[in-house]
Amino acid sequence: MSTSRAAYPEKELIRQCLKGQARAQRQLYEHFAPKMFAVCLRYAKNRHNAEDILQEGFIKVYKYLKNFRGDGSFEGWMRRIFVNTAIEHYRKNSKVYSIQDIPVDYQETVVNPAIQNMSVDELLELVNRLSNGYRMVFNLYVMEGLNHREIAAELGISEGTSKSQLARARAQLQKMIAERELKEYGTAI
Amino acid sequence: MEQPSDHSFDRAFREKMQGVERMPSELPWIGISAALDAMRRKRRKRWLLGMASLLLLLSLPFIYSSFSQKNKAVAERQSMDPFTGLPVRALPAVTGTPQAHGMRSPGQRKTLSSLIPEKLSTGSSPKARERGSGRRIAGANAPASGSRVYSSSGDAGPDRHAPSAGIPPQRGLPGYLSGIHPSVIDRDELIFPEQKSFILPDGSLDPLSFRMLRIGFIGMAQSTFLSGSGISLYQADVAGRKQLKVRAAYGLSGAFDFSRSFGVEVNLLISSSEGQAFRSKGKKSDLRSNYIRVPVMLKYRFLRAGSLHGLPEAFCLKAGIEYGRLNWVNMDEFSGYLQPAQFNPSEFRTVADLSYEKYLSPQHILTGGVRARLGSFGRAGSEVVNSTTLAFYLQLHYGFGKRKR
Repeated sequence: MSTSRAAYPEKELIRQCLKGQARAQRQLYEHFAPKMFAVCLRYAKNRHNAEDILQEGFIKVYKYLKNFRGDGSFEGWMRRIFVNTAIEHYRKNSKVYSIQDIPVDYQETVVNPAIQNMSVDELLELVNRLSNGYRMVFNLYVMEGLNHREIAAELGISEGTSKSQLARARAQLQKMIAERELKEYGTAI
Repeated sequence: MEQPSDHSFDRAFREKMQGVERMPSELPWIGISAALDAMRRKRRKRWLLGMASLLLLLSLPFIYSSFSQKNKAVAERQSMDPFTGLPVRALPAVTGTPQAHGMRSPGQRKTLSSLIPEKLSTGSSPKARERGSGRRIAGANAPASGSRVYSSSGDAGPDRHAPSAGIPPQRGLPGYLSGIHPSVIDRDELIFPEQKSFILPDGSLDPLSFRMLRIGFIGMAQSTFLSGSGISLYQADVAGRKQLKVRAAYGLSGAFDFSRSFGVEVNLLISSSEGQAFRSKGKKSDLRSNYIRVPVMLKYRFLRAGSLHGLPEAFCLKAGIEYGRLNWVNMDEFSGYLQPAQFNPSEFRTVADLSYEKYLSPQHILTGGVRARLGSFGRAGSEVVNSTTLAFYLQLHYGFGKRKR
């Protein structure tokens, strides 16, 4: 896929897209797809699911572009659409994939330096290994800055569940990071 | 309770993930461009539909004017004496005052039978005469006979306006004038404009002037469009293309016209196939449902016209509610997403209908029209799934009429 950046400024690009011009729509996609795909990768279980979310999210962006009032960041508006699409995916699949309750038996919290040593892809891989519920709560809390009440409303769960899932997600990530460090360097940091 | 170390973990994670970009494969864009094409097509269709509606709206005054012209022409033909070419009002009256013949004043006269002077009858019984007076309006439908032909006592010019019991009905002339003495027979109908409408140019009775019970059959070709953001067919909804399917509905139809303008109509659609197909990610799925439906509608006739060719025609607007009961549902590929329990076993919808009805005979009525139905067929998750059906239909009715009083 071409990685060329949009030839138009953002506002002009939006105006052209609203007119239904195919070239502008393609440019908008090329401009924002890499950023939004990274968001999708964090919420999805795998790359294939992330592409599904990306596709659905962009279709929504084009469909509701006329609703963008321009009083905030366009990227932020788009990002919100992709997060919502990911939540819808989660809600749709939550009946299919049951949330595994993984016991928290590892409370290692001294893994922050290890995060710095890891590549983004490695971190993404670890996040993808979390169960759906944990991953959603962790992303919404840590990356989107939502509080537990908002998360509970978005996912249709209780605040208590949101809190416990966040704690379990953190613990599981920390455990995985520590295990990786152990494997890599023969000792946990 | 969150620990400070949790916050630092979150912060470290957030900082690492911020501003990350990853290139997707070409696949998402293929799906997106297909969806954009579909949106463009939809927008074009909507624009065309809008233009067509506008055109129809603009042409309504012309249609109305054309119907008015037709009605006027019919009325003019009915009010002319074919022999003299004069308006019937100007024809010489039966000798003496109407009162002398047992008639009431024009304002009092309401029925045909009360208008027929006793002495003008051919001597049949009063009951038979009364029957004859009712039937003679339909002059062209039967040969002039003793019970239908009345001779005046010479005052109206028997040579010129001979009662002509043997004269066959004249084609092209209003039937009620054929073979019947115009000065006697039609005066009442023509004096009272509201009663003129009983007569059609071919001499038969206007069925619109009857309280009529109509029973018949109805057949439909229909397409259903499903919508609703929470529909579990979500992936197909946003990423794929919906395909409208033409499906059939058929059943019995009954109607009762209680005036020239208003009536009620009830259908019993014993089989109404609905649903639509979706194509997504190379897979095609077909969602089919079948209902028993019973629409109950109030009917309003407008742009009525007595056709110059004979029988009346009219446009009708109908609106009402429709009860539906689910017979069966076939979900094909969607069985993993939708469950039969998600469909309402019974439901109500709103119905709107525009139709054109043409009387093939005073008893046989052919109606063609378009009907829109809007409602929900159930819930998918927390969202209602809406279903809009557009149907083109034909129905044939047989009417049992009773003349209005």
